[in-house]
Amino acid sequence: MRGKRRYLVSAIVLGVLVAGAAAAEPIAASLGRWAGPAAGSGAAVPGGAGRVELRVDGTAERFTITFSGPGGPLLAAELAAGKEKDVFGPPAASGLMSYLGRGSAVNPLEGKPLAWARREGELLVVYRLDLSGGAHRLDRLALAPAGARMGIDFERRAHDRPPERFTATLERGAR
Amino acid sequence: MRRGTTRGASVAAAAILLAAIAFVAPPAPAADSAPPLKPMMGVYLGRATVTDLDTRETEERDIDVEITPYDRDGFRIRWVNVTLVDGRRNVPGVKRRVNELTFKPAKGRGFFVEVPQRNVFAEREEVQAMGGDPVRWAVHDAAGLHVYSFLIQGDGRYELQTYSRRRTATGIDLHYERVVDGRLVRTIDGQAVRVE
Repeated sequence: MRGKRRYLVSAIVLGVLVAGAAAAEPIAASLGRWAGPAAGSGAAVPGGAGRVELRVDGTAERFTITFSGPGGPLLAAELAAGKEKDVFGPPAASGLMSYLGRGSAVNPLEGKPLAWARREGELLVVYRLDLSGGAHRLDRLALAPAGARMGIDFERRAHDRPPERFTATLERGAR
Repeated sequence: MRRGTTRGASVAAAAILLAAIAFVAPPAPAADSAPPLKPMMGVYLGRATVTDLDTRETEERDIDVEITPYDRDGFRIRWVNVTLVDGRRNVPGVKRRVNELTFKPAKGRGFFVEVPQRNVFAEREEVQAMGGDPVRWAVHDAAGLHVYSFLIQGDGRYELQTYSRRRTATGIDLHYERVVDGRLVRTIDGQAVRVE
């Protein structure tokens, strides 16, 4: 019940931010540097409560994202448009592997983290599944850019611990 | 001049990304010393309650779980669910579902990975998570045996199913969760006794 209420609050925060600005393609609207304080208890923010930073570079077809908290990097990925509309995955490799159609296949069971993203209206959601340390960690970062502000909702699920989750409203910094 | 500046910014962004990827700490190991799997082996029979968290509807099911050794250090888990009708299994409308998964240790990483089932008609065996293939793994620690099934749906949302089985004095406790894109949508809780 409590989890549902938190979701509702997050959805309202993101909705208000999105409604407050003209509709824009979320990747283009996210490009640049962003920063702001995380809203949540210290336990909910990996690395402790404090300032979070976001950087998005590239284009709406291929982009990089780095997201950091007070304790260091939380999520980093390079993503490219894939076969499915509005779904982004690891960029395809070049050369023979690309020709064979196997270049972009990342299998997290082999120890390489898998990052992907989806675009839904004015929302961009980036994910990362990491099994490299011997147990899993699944991150979900939702971005709702709205002009000079950005609503974010970060959730981390890991083996043998309850989900960690926090929201933040970031301000655009210098590009 | 401007072109050079843009290129320089791209190089800087790539360098930052590489550095960030390198510094995103990997998840902590599941357990320093996993308990032996042998005591988990056996056949268990019991009852579980399924709860749909959207509708709050519940249903009862009989569960039949069999955990057996596979190869040298792996295991196979087979479970049969019988969804009951008004608490009974001998009336029309009853449903029976059988599942089986096999796992082997992931080399040097403290967990188990699924052994794909052989299919002579399959074109490829490699797991393609972005292509919609389920990614399955298992962890055995002091809290029990946890089997994970992860899937990326066609629209990019994820689905994570967790089956946790914890040893008790008489058998096992079962807890299941189905999470879709960060939202818990279904749980199953039950108990089963070890068959003599």
